[in-house]
Amino acid sequence: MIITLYAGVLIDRVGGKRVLILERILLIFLAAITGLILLFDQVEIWHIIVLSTITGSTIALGLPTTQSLVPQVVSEEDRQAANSMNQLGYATGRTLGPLEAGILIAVRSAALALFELTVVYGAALIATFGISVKHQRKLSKDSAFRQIVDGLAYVRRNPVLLWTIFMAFSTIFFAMIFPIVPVYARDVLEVSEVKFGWMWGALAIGQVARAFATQPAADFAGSLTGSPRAP
Amino acid sequence: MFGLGLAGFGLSDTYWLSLVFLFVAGIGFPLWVTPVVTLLQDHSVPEYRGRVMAVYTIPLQGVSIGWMLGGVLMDLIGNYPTVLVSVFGGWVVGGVALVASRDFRRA
Repeated sequence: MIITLYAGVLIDRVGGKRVLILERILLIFLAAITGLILLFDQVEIWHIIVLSTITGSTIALGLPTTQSLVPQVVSEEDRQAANSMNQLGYATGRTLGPLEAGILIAVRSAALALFELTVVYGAALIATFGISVKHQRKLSKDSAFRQIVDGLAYVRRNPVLLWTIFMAFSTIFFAMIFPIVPVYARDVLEVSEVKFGWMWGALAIGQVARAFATQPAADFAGSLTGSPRAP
Repeated sequence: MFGLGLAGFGLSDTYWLSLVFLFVAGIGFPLWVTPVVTLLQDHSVPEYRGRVMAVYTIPLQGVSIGWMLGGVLMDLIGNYPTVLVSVFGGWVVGGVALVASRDFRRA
């Protein structure tokens, strides 16, 4: 949580693009190091704990960055569509990523899956360099702590922001379903591992279908390929 | 829609029907997320946007707390009651936000 709040300050200080580049470079190193440890069979529990903690913190740095970068990259009328596409990217990654990693681990090794992840992060880094932002932020002289407090006060002053963020706490309740799915698969539905995998797949495919079916998303995809907008 | 999909999944004892309900829940998920992100982007000035989005990602990171609570509740009250707590709990939080602020309702 502290890292996420600090990430917000960093984004407002130096701009989302730089934070995203930093996040992706760190993720490349972390995935490569984990892959090398696995390749040379030097893995110990503390390696995994330390690397997972640093990776989680790095991802926490990147989470708000993409969302704050969208308004700097697309026009206001395309914002909703761009967010849909962003969501589509996440959903596709969540569907295909574990599936492909599972296949690679089964066929070859976990190290190979990690090296492939390094390549994916590398491609994302190259794409990030290509992002053209509308304006650069001015550096603030206030301390990070003061800026965090200022940011929290800003949210508190704005009821739309405050209650929108409050509503996001519903995800904690909705997430309670996730440990139930494997229990239902085993005890109620009594299905195999493959069929269980398809249960997560159905959830993710629903997300992908929704993002594709959203008209603004279709318009935005069309604008990328030069197709005309729907009336 | 997300809640309805989950509630249906909790009631289903047929594999294919469960897949359909999970698919419906998946359709409902981004339906909620995308407008919320856009709302936050639209209602924050560029100087504060990074910090606003950072505050927004804090409840999203609470997903792991939800996982843990789900496991604890399953042991305490059983599977389907946990599904109901999950669905109605989420609705109550969203409902409170809608009732509490007229600005939020109009946004």
